[in-house]
Amino acid sequence: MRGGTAKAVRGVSLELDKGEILGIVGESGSGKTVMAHSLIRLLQQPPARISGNVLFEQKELLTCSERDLREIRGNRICMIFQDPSASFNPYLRLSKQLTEALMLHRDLGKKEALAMAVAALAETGIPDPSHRIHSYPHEFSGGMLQRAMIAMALMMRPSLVLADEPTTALDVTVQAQLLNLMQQLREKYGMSLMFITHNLGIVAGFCDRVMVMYAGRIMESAPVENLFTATAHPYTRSLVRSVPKLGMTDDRLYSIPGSAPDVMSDAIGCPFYSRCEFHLEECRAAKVKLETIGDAHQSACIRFKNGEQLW
Amino acid sequence: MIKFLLRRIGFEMPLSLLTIITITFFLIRLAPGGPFSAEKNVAPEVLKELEKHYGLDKPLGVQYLRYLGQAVRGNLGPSLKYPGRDVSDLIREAFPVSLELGVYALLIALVLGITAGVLAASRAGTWCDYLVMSVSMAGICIPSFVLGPLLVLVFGLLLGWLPVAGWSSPLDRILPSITLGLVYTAYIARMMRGSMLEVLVQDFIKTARAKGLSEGTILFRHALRGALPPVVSFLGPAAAGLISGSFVIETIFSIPGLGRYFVAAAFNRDYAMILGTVAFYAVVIMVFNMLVDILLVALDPRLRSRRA
Amino acid sequence: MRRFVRNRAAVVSTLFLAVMLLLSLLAPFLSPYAYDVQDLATGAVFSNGAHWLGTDILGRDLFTRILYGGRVSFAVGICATFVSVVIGVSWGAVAGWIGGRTDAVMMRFVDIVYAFPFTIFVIILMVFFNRSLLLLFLAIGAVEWLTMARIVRGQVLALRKREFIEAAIGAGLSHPYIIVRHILPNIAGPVVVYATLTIPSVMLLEAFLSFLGLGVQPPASSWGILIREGAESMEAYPWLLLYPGILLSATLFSLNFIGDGLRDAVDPRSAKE
Repeated sequence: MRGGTAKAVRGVSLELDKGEILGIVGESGSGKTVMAHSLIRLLQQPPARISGNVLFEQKELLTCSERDLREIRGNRICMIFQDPSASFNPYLRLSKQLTEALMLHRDLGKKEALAMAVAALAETGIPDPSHRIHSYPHEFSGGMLQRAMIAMALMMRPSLVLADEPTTALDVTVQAQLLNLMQQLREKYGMSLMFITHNLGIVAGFCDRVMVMYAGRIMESAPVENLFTATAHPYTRSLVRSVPKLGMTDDRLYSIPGSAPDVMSDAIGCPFYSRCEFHLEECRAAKVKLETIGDAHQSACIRFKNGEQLW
Repeated sequence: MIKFLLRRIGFEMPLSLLTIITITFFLIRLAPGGPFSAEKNVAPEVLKELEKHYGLDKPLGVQYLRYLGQAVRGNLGPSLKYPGRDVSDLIREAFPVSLELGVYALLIALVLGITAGVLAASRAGTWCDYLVMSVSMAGICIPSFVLGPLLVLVFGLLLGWLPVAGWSSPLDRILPSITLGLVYTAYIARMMRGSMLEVLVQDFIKTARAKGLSEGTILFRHALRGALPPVVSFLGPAAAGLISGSFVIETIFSIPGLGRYFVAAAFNRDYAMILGTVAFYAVVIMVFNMLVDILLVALDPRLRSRRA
Repeated sequence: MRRFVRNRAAVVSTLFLAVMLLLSLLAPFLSPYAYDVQDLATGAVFSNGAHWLGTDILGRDLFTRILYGGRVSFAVGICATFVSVVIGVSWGAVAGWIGGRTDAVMMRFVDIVYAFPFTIFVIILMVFFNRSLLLLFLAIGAVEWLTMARIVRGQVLALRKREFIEAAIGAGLSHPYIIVRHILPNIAGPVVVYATLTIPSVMLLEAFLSFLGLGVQPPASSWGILIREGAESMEAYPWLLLYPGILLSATLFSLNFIGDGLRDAVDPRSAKE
């Protein structure tokens, strides 16, 4: 394997309003996880390098002090990770792990913190929380653990929740329950949610706005309805078509031909070029920049930016 | 868990002990020469009397069984070189000294080693890391019998700060413990660093960071427990090493410990003392290893509910 | 190979070691003194023009003694390592190849032995039996084979399951033949690495035994003997301890760096970073 720099995220710019659920959609390798991690500087720099601005509640997160950052992490911004069984410390009881943030950020004593944590677990539907909280992570099922993870994030009443594929490791019924849960909690507490997933189906029923990422860049950004009814990028269209629907008559599932571009390369032009059925010669050298093409709707495809209607 | 321990105590340990005693017994008996062959100018009749007195004239098999029978009852026989003293008495006198030495050395190794390892891991790639790694490599490569005399030279003879021999005053403990423990400090520092590095890239550490916990909390509350098992496993071989180390250290510093007695017994061909000491060491090691295994299970909750 | 060369410490170490080996081999030609010629009139002398590293109490030139001592120490190092490699590879290969119950028993034996101070037995052996060089090789080798056995067993176990071995068995080739022709060449890498790492342990053990008086016997000298003699008279003549001590440590240092470098080069995944 050669050395080099993997440019996982290139020129991503986004805004999230209070109380909004933003979906970030992309295949694996699209850079969505790296982007989320970089928002609260979870990447080790070095070897990683993050450049740009992250403005949160008037604070610049990329350049602020470690101390300020730690104030915000787990407190104003909470993150939910993908694999709950790997994301909890196997050596510590859940009670310890759930109360630490409370004791740190809210200055609570052990007893009060424990009570709050138990209440949070109850809220996410874990049975017998006052006993189970003293168990170790390996004594829980995946679904239960993810509920605990969600409880851990939400009990801090953060302004922003970053959820990185929180339901991917779980089966479908559990998935539905957890999504429901997050909806309810969002309504109850009014937090903003950045929901990362590769599953368009979830996005459709859950998010307010969606951003589609490919090869580290944002290809399209739109309110959820418009994304599906007025799709403005060939990649998005392919993604939508790849989702199997009831009533399909083809006996083959649609899959996008080709493979994702090399994350190390510095090539200019649209990264989707080689797999796009609508590509033109100019796409090869075109600047991949998001531009507004409709009401709160942005696309990076030059053909849409030129006003064409491709389908 | 209990079942496993019982099997250990009731079956494996006695079996290993028996094997070791048997091998040692026949090894030393089958060798040419006896405990009194070094003494010249001893009349043959006196030699015969001595042998009879210590039961050395009986057939080997009988001696073996007699020894086992007595040993089980705690009687390890009289020493062949210190007339009138029983092996068990000698061990009882000498072992606490070696034990103290070993405990100090181990404590030094654990405290310094773990701290250094954690430090190096948390600053991986920096000069601090390289410093710890280089010093620990030096610690591994400088033998105790080079370091010991060196420390004696500098701190004892040239600077005159510390005593160089004996075991009477508290100050006497310092140089020997450091010399004995330094090698293990080095090993533990390296293992700890490697182990910590492995733990620090795990997902749950990311979760802890995302919660806003300080580096210190992450290192010591979250990472340390996961990183300890290899170091704890190492304690078993480390104890064995401490025992061998004691042979040299006790010789250099003139410490009246079991190690020095053992070496003397070997040179003197004091059969009973050799056998007794070996058997005793075997028991000590086995008990220690059992404690280490218990500690390993205590450290990792995942090992507790599921017993393969 | 390239990765090894990039490791600066390893390269420096190799050069150092090469120099040491060369000096030891050419010992007879390098010094005007024989190693056991005593010059009682001179006594112990610090480094000067005639004696680069000084002399010991009996007037023997230290430089010469160190060179000859190096020969012995290296010889023991290599031979005893050879013994331990033979034992370790055989044990590990058999355990890994047969697998199952036999493997479990064999490796449990290794576990038990690993935690016992076998230096005790080596001491007993050396005291009670003829203190020959051969016995020394065997005794030391018998202590240091354990890690090699573990490594080899792991490798053999993994190789056993691969298709080309299954195919060879299916084709009716005899097991010993397969082991020799197919398995052994594939484990050569790790074996060489760990052999290189065993040499310093072996040399250390030899020095340890010599220090106690149980290793190489005078008038031959090894670094262990030199260190002991140095320790005995160090108050008055510290260089007698320092020179051999430093040299032994430096050699062990180099060997360890070379071994680490080899290990990182062969299997970058096991690199400590």
